[in-house]
Amino acid sequence: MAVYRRTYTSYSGPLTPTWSRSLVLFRYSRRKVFRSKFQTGLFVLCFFYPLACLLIIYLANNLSFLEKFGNIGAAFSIDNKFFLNFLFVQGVLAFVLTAFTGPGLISPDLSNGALPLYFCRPFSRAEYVLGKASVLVILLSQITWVPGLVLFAVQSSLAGAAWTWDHLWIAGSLILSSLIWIAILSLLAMALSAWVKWRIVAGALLLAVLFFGAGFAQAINAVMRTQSGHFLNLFYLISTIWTSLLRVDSDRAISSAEAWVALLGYCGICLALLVRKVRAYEVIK
Amino acid sequence: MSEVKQSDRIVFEDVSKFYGEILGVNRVNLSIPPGVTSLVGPNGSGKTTLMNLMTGLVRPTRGRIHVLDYDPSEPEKLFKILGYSTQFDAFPKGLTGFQFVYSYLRLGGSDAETASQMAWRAIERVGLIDAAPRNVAAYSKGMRQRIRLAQALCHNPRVLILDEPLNGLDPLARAEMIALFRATAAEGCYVIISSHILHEVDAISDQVILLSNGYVVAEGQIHSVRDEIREHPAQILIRCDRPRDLAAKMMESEHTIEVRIHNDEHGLLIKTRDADRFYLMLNHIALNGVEIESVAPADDDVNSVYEYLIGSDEVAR
Amino acid sequence: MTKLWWAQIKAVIRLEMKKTFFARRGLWIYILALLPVLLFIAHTVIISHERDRSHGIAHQGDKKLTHQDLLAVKTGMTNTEVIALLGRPPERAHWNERQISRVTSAVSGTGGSGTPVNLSTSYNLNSIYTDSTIFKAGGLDNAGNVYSSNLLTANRILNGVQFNCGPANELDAVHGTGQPIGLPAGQFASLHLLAASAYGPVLGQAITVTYTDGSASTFTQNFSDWCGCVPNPGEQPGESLAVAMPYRDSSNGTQDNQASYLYGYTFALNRAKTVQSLTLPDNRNVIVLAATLTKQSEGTRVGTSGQAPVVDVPHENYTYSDGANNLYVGLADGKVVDINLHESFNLPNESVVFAGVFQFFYLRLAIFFGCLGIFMNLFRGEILDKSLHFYFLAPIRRDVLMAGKFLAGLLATCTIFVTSELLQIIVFTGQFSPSVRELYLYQNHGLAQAVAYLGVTALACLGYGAFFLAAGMLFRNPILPAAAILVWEAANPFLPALLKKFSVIYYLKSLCPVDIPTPPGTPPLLSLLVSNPDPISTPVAILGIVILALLVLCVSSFQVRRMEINYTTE
Repeated sequence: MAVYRRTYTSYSGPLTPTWSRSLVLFRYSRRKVFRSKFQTGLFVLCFFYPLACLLIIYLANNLSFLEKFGNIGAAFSIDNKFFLNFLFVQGVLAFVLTAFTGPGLISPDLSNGALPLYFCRPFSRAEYVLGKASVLVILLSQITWVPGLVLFAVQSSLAGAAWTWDHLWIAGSLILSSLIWIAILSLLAMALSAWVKWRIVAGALLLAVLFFGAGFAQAINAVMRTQSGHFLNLFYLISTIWTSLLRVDSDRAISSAEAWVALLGYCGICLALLVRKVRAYEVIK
Repeated sequence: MSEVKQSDRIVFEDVSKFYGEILGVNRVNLSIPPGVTSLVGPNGSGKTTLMNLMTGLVRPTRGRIHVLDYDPSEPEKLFKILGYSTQFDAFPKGLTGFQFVYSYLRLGGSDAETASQMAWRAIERVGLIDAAPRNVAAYSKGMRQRIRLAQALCHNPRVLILDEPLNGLDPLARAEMIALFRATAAEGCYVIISSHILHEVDAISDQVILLSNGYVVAEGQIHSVRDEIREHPAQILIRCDRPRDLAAKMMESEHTIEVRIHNDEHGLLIKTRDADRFYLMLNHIALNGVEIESVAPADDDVNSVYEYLIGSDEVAR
Repeated sequence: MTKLWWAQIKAVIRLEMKKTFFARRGLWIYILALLPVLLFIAHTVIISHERDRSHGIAHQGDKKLTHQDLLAVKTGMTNTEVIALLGRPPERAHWNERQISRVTSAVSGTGGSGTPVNLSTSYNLNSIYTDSTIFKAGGLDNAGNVYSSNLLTANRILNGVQFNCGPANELDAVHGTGQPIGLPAGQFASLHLLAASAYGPVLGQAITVTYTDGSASTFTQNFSDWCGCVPNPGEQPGESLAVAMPYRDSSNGTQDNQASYLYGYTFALNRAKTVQSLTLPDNRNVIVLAATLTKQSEGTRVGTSGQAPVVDVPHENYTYSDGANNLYVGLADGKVVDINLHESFNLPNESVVFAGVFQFFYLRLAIFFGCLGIFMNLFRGEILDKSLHFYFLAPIRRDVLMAGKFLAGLLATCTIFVTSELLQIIVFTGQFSPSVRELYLYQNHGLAQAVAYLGVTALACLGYGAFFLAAGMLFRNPILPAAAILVWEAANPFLPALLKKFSVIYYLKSLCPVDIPTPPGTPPLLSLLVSNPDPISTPVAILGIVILALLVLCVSSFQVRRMEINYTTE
């Protein structure tokens, strides 16, 4: 039968801007995260320590009798060490949150064959990765540098302009320290999530990479009588960078420059894994 | 009526299955005889749940199930006489078609030689001899369906449960499989099939179980089920030389609801409230000069029964 | 019936081995098991290279040395004395290093002018210690670093002004608190301070001198950091370099070869008024060591550029060897400053290192994660793959199926990890010469230790395997219980006695053949992790693990009989 009338026309109305399309992934992935009561509870738990720090800041600035207690008074000293401890605690919580949130980002799309559906649209791989990564980045920012800056602001307002001016560098160090940890955690979680199809295995792999890496690093140092094993220990590398950024003197086996190079190397490896695995097609042999 | 022996039937006694708050099946009472029994119903009606209950893959929330003399909670006994081809399109990784069937037999305790023979026989029955040495992950959909059938058949079970067994098969393969099911049923086996292809269900089934929203809506032979549906008048198609005369005579009776003349003027469709009285009347009319070529019920099939019983439910919803 | 079950178990094992042993997805477990072997191989290669090097060095030496000869070298000896003792060094390196000289601008002495201010009632931190003193206080920078009293003597004269620093090893400096410090009554022309900052330069600090009539003179001063690691020391306006020191002391008694400085500041007072008090800025990082009031005006400034004088100091490294141990001697300016005796091979130490790697890395991490991957996959992996029904539809009892899967996992893990441990032992003992190897294996219980290591590995696979099989069955996300088990095992030493028994590592620790000594100075909490304060006997330990595993497997067998197939999408 011949077709005499062609009435179909494709949609020609306004389109959303290209840059905003990866936000769709962000919205849905974030909603999925908070659908889990356990993950929501864990997220809430991450704010307990900042609240405790807020209390300490208030006490340190408002109760001069603490000075009479000598050592206890020193514990309430709000300085770079205080913020370093804050970073350590929140950094560990960030890792725990990533271990439960990160693996569910890409693995389900891989195992359910959703990647071809994404990439058959005008949606690039970079946008896909960005959209997924933004969930982790924003989530982890909310528990690291954001409350850190809030604490800094509170301390500044209580301690006065002189303290703020002298310690303004701490704010910048906090942001940079948090961002490098967020970057490595996000890239690692997503790379492992893209490499294995099962969310559960990706979670186990994330635990293994960090704990096994730390253990193997110690084994190398003990057996080879060296300190080079520390390059396999992500915890050690990041703590080296944090102590250097926050100018806390501590005996470190490797310099902060070496730690930076190592961490950036890991980021590169994770990116390479993502490029390899996040594709619109999969070859089954 | 002779007492039905439990050991001759697949029996569901007031069985209910809930997945949390979601109903799987509710208050199912069935007694399935040998032959081909079809489970028919829309998506989510409980067909697969019933099959899983029969095979012990899920446990009933309430009620009891017996498959002949066996309890589904004793798989080591049940699966010696039962074969189940599931709807799950997933296989243990790394196995070829032959290994898939062979290892199933070895799990059952068969020795290597026996298992190999039985596996090849089953694979031959489903027509996959050439593909058997290949990895199942590389099979097409139809081939995967057939290898699942092979696994279900390989140990010559007395009860064969097949969840949508004709899915993905080409017409020739479908015909072969239907012939296989009929042959198996003819040997006295129990073949339980779920399907959406109603004309095939019509063609092969001895009895049918209609499910809707987890409830058994009807069970039995199609004709019996149709007879029970009183609220829908019987539709009968008659081919004759003088349809208008016949129509006029039919309209005189009180049980005739509607008469429609066919476009070719050689037939008519009659809706009657009382099919038995209609047939008596027809005899009388035929003896009085109207030449009747054929008489056939127009809605005595699964499709019509499905529409009457389940289609109305869907509309009501 | 038993014959049927065995046949079925063997069928399950065959299937599972094909999926675990010979599948590409199992590759990571081999890598996990091979890593420690590669580590010991690398260690052996390095040891053998070092041994060859030691022999070479010993051969090149003037005389044949013994271990005692190497131990005789002490810090402070001159290069001549070292050469006299050990002969000319077979390996020698020489270079010059730029250092600030041990010259100070402020000389030691007590004859200077001015009225020193008594700050002792306001001392609130320890800033000066004698060399090699171990102390607990925070130090000048609250990070355990202080000036050396060997360099910074108590009484100094800078530009003719007398400064009296506080006593070493006690509170001897004042950090800013904003509280007034009493000044000796009188009319003075200048206030002089010896001070510095910590944690970087501190800018715009207010120094206030209050007079008896209530008025005050306030001075705004920048302070340079005391540490030479901060650039441009002594370059703040109004600041002069008072004392420059080539090192500072640390709280653990060692020297930190980091230059440190003390600076002088002078503030002109209203000489018509009588001084009453001095108020330092409320800033922990402004530290004042001494203060003096003078009646004359400011004296001659020394070193206004703030640059410390530098010299080229000759450094040398001598390397000696007795054929087994290498001695590295570091000399600066002709004197021994650093001694490093590298003992190339020490059987007891190597055994302890091997034991440490086994206990803390191989058992707790490699075998842990390997078993997690394999055993969790047995049921949970099948559910994720949607292939578990394949087993449930076979005429096999579910507990027999579970037993078959568990045995398959156990066989796989034992084969992989016991083989890896055996290879590690072979590589480890391969370092020895044949005679030492024989001595170690047959006389020093090396063979018994090797058997013990292999047995502990197998028992670890049994224990962890049972737990992870159960976790895979009981939990939708087994990572949670896996993480919990990891923490539980790590926290085992701190648990009550009854709870300790529900842990695999509790039994395994007692079965490990070599005790790991606690290094001196280890905090008590950490030493609990290292040591095994209440070991249990071998039969009890083995029985304990087996019973624990069987208990867990019983729970699993109840669970598997009740399992339903209800695949959910990810």
